Amino acid sequence: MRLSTGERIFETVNIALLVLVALSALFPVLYVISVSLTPVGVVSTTGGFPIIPRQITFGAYTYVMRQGLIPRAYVNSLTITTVGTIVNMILTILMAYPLSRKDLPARNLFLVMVLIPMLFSGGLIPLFILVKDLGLMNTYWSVILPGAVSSYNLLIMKTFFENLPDEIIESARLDGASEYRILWRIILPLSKPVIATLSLFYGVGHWNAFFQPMMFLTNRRMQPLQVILRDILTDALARETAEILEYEEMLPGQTLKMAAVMLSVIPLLIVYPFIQKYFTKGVLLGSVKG
Amino acid sequence: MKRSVSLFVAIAMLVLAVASCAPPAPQTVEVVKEVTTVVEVEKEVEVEKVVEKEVERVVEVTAAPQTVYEVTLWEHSPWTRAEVGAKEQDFVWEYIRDYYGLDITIQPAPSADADAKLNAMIAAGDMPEIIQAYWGPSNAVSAEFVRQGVLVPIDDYVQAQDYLSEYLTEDEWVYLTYSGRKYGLAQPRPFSNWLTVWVREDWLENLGLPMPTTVDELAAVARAFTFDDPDGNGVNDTYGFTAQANFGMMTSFFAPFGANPGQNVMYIENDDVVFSGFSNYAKEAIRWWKDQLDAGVVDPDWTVHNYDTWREAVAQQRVGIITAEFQFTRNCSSNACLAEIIATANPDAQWEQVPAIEGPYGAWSAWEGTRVDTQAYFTRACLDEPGKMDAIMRFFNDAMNPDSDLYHIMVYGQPGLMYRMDETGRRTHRFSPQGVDWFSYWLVFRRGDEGYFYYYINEANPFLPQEEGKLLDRQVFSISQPLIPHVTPLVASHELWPDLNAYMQEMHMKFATGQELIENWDAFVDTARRTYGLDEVMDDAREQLRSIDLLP
Repeated sequence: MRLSTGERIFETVNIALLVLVALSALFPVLYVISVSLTPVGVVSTTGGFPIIPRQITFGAYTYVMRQGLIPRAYVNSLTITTVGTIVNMILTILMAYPLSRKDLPARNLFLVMVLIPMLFSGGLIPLFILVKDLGLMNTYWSVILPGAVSSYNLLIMKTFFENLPDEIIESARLDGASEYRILWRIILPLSKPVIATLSLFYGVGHWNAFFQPMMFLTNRRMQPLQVILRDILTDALARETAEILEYEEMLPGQTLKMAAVMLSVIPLLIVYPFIQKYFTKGVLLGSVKG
Repeated sequence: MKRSVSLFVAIAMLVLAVASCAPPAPQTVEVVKEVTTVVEVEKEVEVEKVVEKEVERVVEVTAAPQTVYEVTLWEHSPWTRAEVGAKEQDFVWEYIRDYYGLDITIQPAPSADADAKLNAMIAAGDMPEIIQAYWGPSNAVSAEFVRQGVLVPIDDYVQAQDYLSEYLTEDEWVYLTYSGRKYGLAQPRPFSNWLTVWVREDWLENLGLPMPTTVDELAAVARAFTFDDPDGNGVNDTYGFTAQANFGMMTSFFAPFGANPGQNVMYIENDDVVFSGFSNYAKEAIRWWKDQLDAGVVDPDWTVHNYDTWREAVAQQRVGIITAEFQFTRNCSSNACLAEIIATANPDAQWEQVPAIEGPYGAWSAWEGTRVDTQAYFTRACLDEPGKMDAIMRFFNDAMNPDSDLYHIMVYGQPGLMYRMDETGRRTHRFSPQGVDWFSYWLVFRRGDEGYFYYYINEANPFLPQEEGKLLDRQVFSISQPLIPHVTPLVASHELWPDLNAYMQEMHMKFATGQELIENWDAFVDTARRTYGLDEVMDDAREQLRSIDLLP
């Protein structure tokens, strides 16, 4: 197809703008990688971090990984993220499906009950007392169960289910399928995009969680990566500022910070491409009706 | 087939969920074996006799107590990196349980939001018996805990202990006293100033200038460093001063004016408290700095300098006068050491410390610090069982006493395993063997003047390398500089203080950078009084100082 001059100009401007947008997204990532790999001597003498490092050192990564708690923290984060996301999805699906059915008795009452905690939080101290009284302190459940169902994600999933054609469900029902069978064999296979999207939302939330693990997981061997990385960084920055390094290898705070960022995002970067195709579809489908 | 696979996956996930959510099992006996191996290795280093002697010393204790109380110690420890196994593997824990009747669980405070967690625990009735605090003495946090009745006074318990009743002077107890009653214990720690003005001595020599002694001479040197080509490269590429933007490291520039812009220091003058941040002293200090800016002798990037960029400015030979701690040019093996970076860029660069500069307020280098360190406060949970507080105080009586066996094993650890000694009985080396990570948590009890753990403070420190002798001289120099006495640590922050402080910092920076004319200083103070409650905050400070007899 031959493009008109106007279309060609539009295409060119469009592509240029998109490249700029892409670069603006790529630049911080490159910067983080570059800083985490650049020796501090280079930084101090050249005055700033180059986007493409002229010298490369893995010292910051070695320093962080050498801390005894890191491997255990990775296991903890993976466990909390995996189990937490599974629990989140099971409970969210089981709640969203009935709420999506217009014939559910007292549906509006249940919806209001879902909305209230989304708008008004109980606060930290009641949550702390609840977790403590349930005997969940220092268990992974303390960071999984309190947020097991996110009202926001529940509404997204409910809306998605509502948009599925009623005819399919009716025909399954006429064929004698039970509600559980309809959910398992009809609804869920049609809902892969929203399942993938919400799994990512939940998973990222668990992976990045800091405050709740800090509050409820006192045992250092149970704390996830974010808490441990924070401690390592705080410790390293305090030592750097005071320069009380006791003859250990000294690393600049900025380099350590960026290495910690990379170490915490790498697992997500690995997972994301596999669910990206569902992710974009899911976000759109959850919001469009009709 | 598909159904079977789904069933299998579901069961597998369930098993994973249950298995992974169980608390991790405590470390096994293998760790103990590992420790034993380390002990055996260390025993090879000719320490058997000393070890035997030390072990004898360790077991010289009183009879085991009848009751064992469970106690939680909330520790703001800087040594939280270590992986911690089950406390039952910890020899110090075992010793304390056996000889003091305390089953102590150390709960390390998180590095962020520690106050939020502690407050939630207290509100939920889950308070630790002992709160080991790194916050400053008389801090608003501990003052608030006293007001809430969370902390309990310990005067009578202290009196009952031979060491505790005498180990602090009245000047030191004052940091741990609220409304005339003692609430905490702390290790005495003589304050040692590390901050001084530094100047490029090679630049002074190049320009034939003497070491500055007054603020006017310092300004003159800054002008010469900026305009007289001190590095002789024929390019106008240098400045006199640079600093970090938060005023925090500029104390030695401003102490001669009796102020510390960006911060408020309180001191007593003519039987009243002076808030330096709102005084004419701060005004004159900021005016002086602004004059330097107007004269073009300050690195223009100083307003955006953080620690890293400030280091860059120094490393890149752009400036000749800074304030810094004594060890800023220290040598070390890493390429990150500033000394090495400076030496690489210019082997002739020579930074030297400047004696306290004379200014309108006198010749001062910085402000005095507190005299105690690492406070422990005691909550009402200590009183929930008869005898528990007495047992805790018996423990602290020995934990604070450097001559006690308890202090000995808490601070130095197990002989042979953690250290070895020479013929004269001096510890000559220390180790961090695997499997004894718990030990590092007890280090919080060490004394502030314990040379064994401070490289520079104690000349007798066995770990001070010969090549660092110069560094020791630098520290001695900074410690010997005159420091302005003040009462800031003795006044708990008022609830209005955070907003007032934020306003003060904002305005100080505006005055210093010229965004606000210094002529508007009185309007700034008026606004602080009318809008931010300066008078109320000062009245509260006066009241607190009267309660400890520092004001009539």
